[in-house]
Amino acid sequence: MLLAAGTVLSGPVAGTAFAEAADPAPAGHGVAAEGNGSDDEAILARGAYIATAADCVACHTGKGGKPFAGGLKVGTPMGDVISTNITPDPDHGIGKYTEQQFDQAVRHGVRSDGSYLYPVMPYVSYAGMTDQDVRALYAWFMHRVKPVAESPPPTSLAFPASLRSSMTVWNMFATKETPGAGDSATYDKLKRGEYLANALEHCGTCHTPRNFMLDEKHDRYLAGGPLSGWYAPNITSSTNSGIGNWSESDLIAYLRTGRAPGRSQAAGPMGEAVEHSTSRLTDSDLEALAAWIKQVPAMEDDLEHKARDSFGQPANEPDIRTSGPTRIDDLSEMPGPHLYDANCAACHGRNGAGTADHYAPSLFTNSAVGTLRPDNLIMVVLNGVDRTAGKTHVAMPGFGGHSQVQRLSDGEIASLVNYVMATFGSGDPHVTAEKVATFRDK
Amino acid sequence: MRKDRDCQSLSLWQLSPNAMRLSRLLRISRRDSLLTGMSAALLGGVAHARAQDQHSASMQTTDHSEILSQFMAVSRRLTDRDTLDQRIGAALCNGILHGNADRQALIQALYTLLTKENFASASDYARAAETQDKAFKDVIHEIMTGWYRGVADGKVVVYRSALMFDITKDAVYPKTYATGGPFYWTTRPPDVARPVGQPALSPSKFVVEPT
Amino acid sequence: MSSEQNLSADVVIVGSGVAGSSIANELARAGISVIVLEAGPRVDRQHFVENFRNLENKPSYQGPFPAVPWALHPPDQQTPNEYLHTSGPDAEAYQQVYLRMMGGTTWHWAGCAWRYLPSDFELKTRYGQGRDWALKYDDLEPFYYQAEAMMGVCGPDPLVEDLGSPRKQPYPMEALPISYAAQQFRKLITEKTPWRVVHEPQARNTRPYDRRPTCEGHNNCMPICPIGAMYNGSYSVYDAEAAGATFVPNAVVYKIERDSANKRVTAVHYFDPDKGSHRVTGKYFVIAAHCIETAKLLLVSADEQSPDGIANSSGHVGRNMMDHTGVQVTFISGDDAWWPGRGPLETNVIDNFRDGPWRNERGAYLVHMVDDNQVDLATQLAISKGYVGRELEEQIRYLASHTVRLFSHNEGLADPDNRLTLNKTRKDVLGIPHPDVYYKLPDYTVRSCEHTRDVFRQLIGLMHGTDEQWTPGYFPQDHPAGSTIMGVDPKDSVVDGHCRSHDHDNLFIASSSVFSSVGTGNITLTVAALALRVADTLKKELVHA
Repeated sequence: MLLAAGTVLSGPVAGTAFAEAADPAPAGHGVAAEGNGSDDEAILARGAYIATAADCVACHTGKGGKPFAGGLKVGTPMGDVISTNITPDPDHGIGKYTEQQFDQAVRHGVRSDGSYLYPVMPYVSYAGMTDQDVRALYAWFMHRVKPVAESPPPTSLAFPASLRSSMTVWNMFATKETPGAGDSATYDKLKRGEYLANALEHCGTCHTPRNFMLDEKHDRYLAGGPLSGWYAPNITSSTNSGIGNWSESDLIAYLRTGRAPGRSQAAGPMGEAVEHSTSRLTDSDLEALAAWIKQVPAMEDDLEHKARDSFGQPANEPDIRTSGPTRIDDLSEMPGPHLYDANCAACHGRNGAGTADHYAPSLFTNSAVGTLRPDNLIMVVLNGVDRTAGKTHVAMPGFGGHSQVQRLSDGEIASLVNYVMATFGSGDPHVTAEKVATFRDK
Repeated sequence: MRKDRDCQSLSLWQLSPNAMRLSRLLRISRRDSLLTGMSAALLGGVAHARAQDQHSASMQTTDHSEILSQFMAVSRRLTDRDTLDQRIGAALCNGILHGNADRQALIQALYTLLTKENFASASDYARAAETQDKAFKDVIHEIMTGWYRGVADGKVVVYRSALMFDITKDAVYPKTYATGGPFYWTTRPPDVARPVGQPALSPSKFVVEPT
Repeated sequence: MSSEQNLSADVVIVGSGVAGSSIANELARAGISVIVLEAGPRVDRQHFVENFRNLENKPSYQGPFPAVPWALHPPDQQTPNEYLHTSGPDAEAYQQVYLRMMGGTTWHWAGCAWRYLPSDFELKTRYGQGRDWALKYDDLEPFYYQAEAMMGVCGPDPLVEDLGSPRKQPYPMEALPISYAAQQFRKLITEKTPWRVVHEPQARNTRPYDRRPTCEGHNNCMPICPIGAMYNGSYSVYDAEAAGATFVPNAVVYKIERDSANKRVTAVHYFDPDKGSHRVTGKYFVIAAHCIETAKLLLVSADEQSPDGIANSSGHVGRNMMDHTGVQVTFISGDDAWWPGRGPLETNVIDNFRDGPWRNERGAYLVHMVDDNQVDLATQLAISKGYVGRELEEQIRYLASHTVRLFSHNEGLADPDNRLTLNKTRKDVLGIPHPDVYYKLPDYTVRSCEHTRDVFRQLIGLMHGTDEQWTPGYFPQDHPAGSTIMGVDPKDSVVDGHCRSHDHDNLFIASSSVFSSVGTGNITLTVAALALRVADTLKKELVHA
């Protein structure tokens, strides 16, 4: 029996987000067709959708691992936190969790053995979920996720972070969302957008800068912050520092496909968020989320004073060549423009305009190139892009130490990034080889 | 006409064994020998090449901007184009002058011919040139090869920016610069009507080499 | 590295191309220690891309790859040649090119990933021609799939298009959507001839695969894919190194040492570029140095115990040189513009002539319509015709859009007189002789080529073609095979069905040199499958030892 006796579900699911629930993980189909008549199916469908919107799978699946079986290492200043197995396996996962224990973990950051979760698990955000949504989530995890009988290695951080009890103090000061009331599916557009942003997608977890205690600075909501080598940019309504110059449909396109043509594209952790989560939201949820994001208070950035995607133009230099073929063992480092020609121009064009169908984006009017922070461009050059949204799978090779295509040195990547940003973006960021080295294996 | 490539690749020159070096200098490929109408003097080999090098080197420092602007004017007429890239022109001009001692004089003479009459087209101009002096044919070939293929003095001067790619850009991309995105090639490219234009110069022999 | 240092591993592999590296990867992943000795240097893609763009004679596939002096490879396909010297009535037909560098010759192949047909392995039994292999297609089938998964091969659904090589699993990636030119060719053949055009299986990504991007149609598979959408051996080098294999570049093996009974191979010796000598010991040895260099090495290693070369009690090392000989014609189509050169180079093939009862009399072949960008050649042609200005531009567009190029792979036969020997006077900087090959086309192949020319003439007619340019004579396809031929009888073969030397139990050969026939499909996938089978054999012997 899925639900406690006496529980009353709120109205029919027709016309709500869940009628079109996406299938977030290959664990089963919890989609309720309208008129199906089964309350249980409706709850499971809601749970599946909530799991997608909250993107549980992104952190709780290791690289190449089974869904929700844990094992992903998330870097923090105190060491790697390793995600746990949250499949319903009784010994290795949460199979023995009651609904109350599940809620304690998701909305309060406390495990079934009473110890605290590290706030890498964004329970401070999920604290905003409604009771109904938590129950649906629990039902879905227990009944639709495939149990995996494997335990990932346990997290062990450096002292004193290793003392989970130290989290009590943190939790006293950290700000948590307040649980939403009623049926989140019936919220009006902006309220639904806020719910999606804060309680489910937890945008602030990455996009809001943190204080010295690593708590989100709520007075700088969505004003941007670093994230394991990447930089989650300012996505407030500021036209100079944020995405104030984007239309709502730009933002919807970005969240649905991973790309706002002529502006920006998602890579790294945002690429994963698009792939596993935002690309699978319903149209009305995407509209709600976009509407909410577009109206958050503008925050000016101390560094960026001109919209990131407003820089640059096509480069029209002829390719004057002055040497013939060099010997095969000549691996000498080339200057920036030649590195660009040899490694990037095939897809991005000598002029930087990308491919005709924007499969490879243009490098001018591209937020990753126009930003003053070279972090994301360095990370993309090192790691490439691999992002599936709907049926479209886009990939750019990386040029770091695991590339199958071309491995570039720190110095080469520095030259390349400096050339690209000088030629197509906001100017030469004077990245050094030493700086590039710090981004490897992030 | 491709001359001996003694400067083509310095690293090869320094590092490859003697035998390879020497035979590269002296060998004329099959394709070169089939392009008739070339100056026989160029088959003379290394000594002649060296003499020409010295000549070219001294020549480049005098009146360079004048020869370049003459080269550009001649090129515009021969390509039927109002504007050509000056930077590419400078590099091509250097290459063509370097390839042959008589090119400077020939380009100057071509310019003189150009300014004498008002030619309506590249073909009119080229026909008149060859009629006036058969020696113009080779340098006109070199100018065509320079702008359209991006090659001068047997070396690549520009590749992506070669005009042959500009005139076919609605249908194909240059190799290694295909920016159509995956599977662009499945669509139908534009049809091309059979051209009615005639050659302006007398023909030379050309044979397709196997891959 | 000093001359005294002794390297050692369970398995020592000579050659880092697709064969050597895939074996190294398999063994290293099984926890077996591996050293790979590569004659040439480490290399990288970006320099090759620039070399290509800086190369005047772009159709020269070796052009972007100037060799290092201690590991020469043929600089071009000219006869006479500065390295691989060919002679005989059909010398030009064996003027092979290949690459000696980390990752091997697949840096510049076209990515055609054909399986051989079952009949290719039984040419003698079925047709009374040539020789049979010492294995059957079914023995190789699982390794064919393993090779396809390793390389990332796209191909047609066998239920839709059966290519004649039975398969148990679908292709790892879906077939490549073909260009407009290929579509038109396919339509013409289907409607106007009794033949068919099939999707060529290719080691090319039709989706992101193995951390490498989808093909974008740069039309430059040969000589260098600028983005890594096509497989080459360097990926297997990377994978093998990540799994723990050791690769030594600039290590030119010149001697294969055996025990005093001349039974087991005990070590190989290599020169570094300064001619310092190094000895590498191991339990098993694999020569994976390409058909030409593998035979050359076995001959170079000759000593008092084995005066005719290593593993050569049969006398067949260096013999039975085979290739896919080619017929080629280029012409201007009188029909609508096809614009070849959009997309990858090789995508579609007429395969009706790969097998048939007539194979008892003349060789099989397959026909490619090459999808090769003709703009540069059209420009040269139009200039030579005397066009200038606007007329030149119109001519270039017309020629580039209407040029059709057809070529074939015609199968050779194992003839012991077609033979690789060591040049008596020409040596490289390390003192190692250059290879020579004597070649006379088998009549079987000549008859095959006649048939091909006839088919081409029909196709030219169907396309209202003019300005035919037939490539004179015959030309090589760089698919050399047979120089250490496989067979059941040690008296007339060098290796057995597992590619193990008949003479030395712990010596294997992973190369097209073991092929007993050359069939019609490009050789690389079969080379990879055989190599993976060698790895399988070695794993069984080493893990259970």
